[in-house]
Amino acid sequence: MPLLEVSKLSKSFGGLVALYNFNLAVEQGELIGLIGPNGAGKTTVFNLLTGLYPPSSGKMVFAGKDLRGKKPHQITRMGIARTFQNIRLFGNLTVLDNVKIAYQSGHNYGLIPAFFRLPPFQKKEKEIEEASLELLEIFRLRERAGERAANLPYGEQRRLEIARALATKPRLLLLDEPAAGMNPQETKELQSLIRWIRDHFQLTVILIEHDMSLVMGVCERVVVLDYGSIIAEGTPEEIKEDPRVIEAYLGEEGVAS
Amino acid sequence: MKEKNWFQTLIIFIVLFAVYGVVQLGISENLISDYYQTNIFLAGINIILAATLNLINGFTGHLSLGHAGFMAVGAYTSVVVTMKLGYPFPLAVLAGMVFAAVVGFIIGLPTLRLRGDYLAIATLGFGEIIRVILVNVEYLGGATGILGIPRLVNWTWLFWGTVLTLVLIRNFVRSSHGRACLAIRENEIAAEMMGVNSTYYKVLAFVLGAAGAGFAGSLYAHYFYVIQPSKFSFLLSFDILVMVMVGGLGSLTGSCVGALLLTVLSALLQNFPEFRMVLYAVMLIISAIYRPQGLFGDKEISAQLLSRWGGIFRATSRSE
Amino acid sequence: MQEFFQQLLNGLSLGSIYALIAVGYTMVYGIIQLINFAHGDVLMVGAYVGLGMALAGFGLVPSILVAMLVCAVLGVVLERVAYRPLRNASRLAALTSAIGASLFLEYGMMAVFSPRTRSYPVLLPDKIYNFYGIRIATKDFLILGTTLVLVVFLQYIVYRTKTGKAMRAVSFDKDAARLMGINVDSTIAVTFALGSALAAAAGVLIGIYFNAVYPLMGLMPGLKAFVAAVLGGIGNIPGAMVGGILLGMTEALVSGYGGSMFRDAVAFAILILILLVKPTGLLGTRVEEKV
Ligand SMILES: Nc1ncnc2c1ncn2[C@@H]1O[C@H](COP(=O)(O)OP(=O)(O)OP(=O)(O)O)[C@@H](O)[C@H]1O
Ligand SMILES: [Mg+2]
Repeated sequence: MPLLEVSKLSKSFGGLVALYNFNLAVEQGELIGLIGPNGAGKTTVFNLLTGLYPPSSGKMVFAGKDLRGKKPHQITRMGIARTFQNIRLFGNLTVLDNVKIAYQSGHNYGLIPAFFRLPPFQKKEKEIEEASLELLEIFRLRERAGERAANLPYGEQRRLEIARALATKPRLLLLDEPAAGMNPQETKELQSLIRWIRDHFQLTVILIEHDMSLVMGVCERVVVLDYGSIIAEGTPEEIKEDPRVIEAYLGEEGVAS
Repeated sequence: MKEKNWFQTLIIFIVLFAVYGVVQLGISENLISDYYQTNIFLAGINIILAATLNLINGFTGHLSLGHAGFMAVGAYTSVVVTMKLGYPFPLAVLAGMVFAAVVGFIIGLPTLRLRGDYLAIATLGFGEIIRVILVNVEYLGGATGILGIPRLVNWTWLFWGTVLTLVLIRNFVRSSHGRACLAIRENEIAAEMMGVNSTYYKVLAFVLGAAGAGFAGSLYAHYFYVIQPSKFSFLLSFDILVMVMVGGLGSLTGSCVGALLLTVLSALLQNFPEFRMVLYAVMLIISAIYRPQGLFGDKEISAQLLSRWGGIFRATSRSE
Repeated sequence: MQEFFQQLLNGLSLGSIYALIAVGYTMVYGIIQLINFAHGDVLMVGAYVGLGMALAGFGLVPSILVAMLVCAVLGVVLERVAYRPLRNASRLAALTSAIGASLFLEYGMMAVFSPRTRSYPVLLPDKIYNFYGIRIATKDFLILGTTLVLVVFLQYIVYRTKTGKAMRAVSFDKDAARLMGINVDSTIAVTFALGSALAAAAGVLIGIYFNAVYPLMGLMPGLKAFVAAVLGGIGNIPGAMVGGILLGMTEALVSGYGGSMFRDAVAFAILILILLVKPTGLLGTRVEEKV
């Protein structure tokens, strides 16, 4: 059974059909690329999967459970985490708190221990802090732990977003243009980071990206969207050669080699 | 590390007891005139009101304009419990808080579930309705209110009640639950995506804030002998809002300073009520535009900060 | 039955006033997603200006027109001073500033003109007509007529003029509108001007209808009109009118059948109900925040 099975998923906003009959089956451990020109409906797929919008029609099943009608936080607890195309950190909070908030959802204590600082508070807080710092260490953000998230340079903000998403302990990670705004060096590092976290945390990853070198370098399978519909699907090599994909990208930015 | 914490706590306790003792002495020995006593009590109650409103406005980021209404609920409930039902005061305080919280829940759940910005209207309307209902209910004294309430609140109650409120709010804010509230303020969608049940926490913060206002109301009622519906009009809600805004959204220290500042201002401008409100209005606009973080932002004057200042001081004095 | 229709008629008059106010709320909310807290107070200023004109001996129509003009300017000034600096700030800060503006108008007015309640001189022959037992006063005709004229005028502006097109474009997507060469700032200013002018007309009507002008007179009608706007679907102009009239009628029925104490509570009960049952309002469509 695939980890995620999406069938005939559609979404329209008023008259605009943002996504039409989208099908996707993702096996445990896969690293899938989702590409397409601007406005193709890529982010909409993520928004539907994470419960931010209700789908107009279609099915989404994750680990045998129906995702429809679930609230975002419930979906997060089922094991799906994401990052945002337009970074959505908790800007005025510290880097450490950003991660703690994500981590604590599965490791919380009651209100009474919080009000009176009872032993469960002490114990869990320590656990939350240690785990969060460990995660920051992996992402080379530990020295930044006490800084305001909004003060980080752009590349580090993107890294923090990924770290924060991982802190929710997902099985499926959705990355929405993680390389946007990064320089080539940072993108290179990101590429190995994505592979590494997939192996280290035994994740399944869906990656939306405009940077073709990143997609082609890291994904095993690529799905191409255009005007809300899938126009091609296959290995990076197949996609590169596909005339429909080249056509869709013509006048956009051309197919990056 | 552990020892230092211990030391800090000790210092804080000493300071608290000193303040408590000095004022108590002043009251017992009649060194503090009635006028000043009244204002000291108002200051304490204002601190509770501002700190609990800050929990809603500053820490969770939703504007409530019904704080006076919740205070009224607490005040009237507690007075009914002590005067009409004859139960002891602590029980009355509890009843006032619980009832205010229940009313908060009824208003908060539908409004906060979706558009947080409707809360401002809903709470403002609620505050006015509460007032209208109180005016019309004979049992609660109508427009004249309830007179001759026994004075069951003394300095001990007020002081430790205020301290307890501040400590509990601080503990809440610096717990995972408080972080969840802050996350909602910063970015609600991202908070949800990190597993934070945003509806739960928005309503929770609102209900806790309402309970706090109820607490302030019961203290108020049992100190000032009289409660009247007109005391709890929306003007009071705005006063509290100004305290929070001036002090800083998300800073408890700021709420205390804002409350003290406005208590003094109100006392000074007692005879110019319109002018006072115009001044507050200008303060609101200016603080919203130029300094939404208020005097303190989300900073706190804590023992740590003080000892850091102390550290700087020591360092400079050593270099001399 | 007769009593029922009588109350419906009363509700219609009251409701059209709410509708006039609600339209301004909804227009402003539609264009900058801000609850213009001072809207009710603009209404109050309008009532005072109209009163001043009437006391100076002018007739009804010039009084209303001048009140509308003055308040249009006031709306633009408010936007410029208290709202525009906060367009990119947090919602809470913007809302706080709006509340400050509201308090400023209320208590500024009180400081200048005292809290005293004033009343309009007689501008209309106070006659009551009887249709099959239902009493209709000249006031009712005045209110219904004025509302009708203004609503038609507004429809014309919003759907038939370039400015109206710009307003719709800006409320749909500010950035896209700017790219298309629309002056977003002045479009927002025009929206405030229009909404405030309608509120001023409503202010004069309220002043005449309840025969009372005082600095806090805008508070309750303002709150209720906001509820009317939410009821109709916030951001939706026809919705605001429907919401206003429905609210007015409900209120009249409740107070007519003995619940006058709960008259003011009706609006807020409706707000809570609509948020629970159909948060987008009667005519509103679901808008999903872009993520
Ligand atoms: N909340 C919304 N309301 C209305 N239209 C929307 C909304 N969200 C997305 N759309 C529209 O749906 C279409 C698909 O948008 P989507 O964000 O999924 O594109 P995308 O493939 O992620 O593009 P990009 O590469 O620019 O991020 C676009 O035309 C967009 O304008
Ligand atoms: Mg996108």
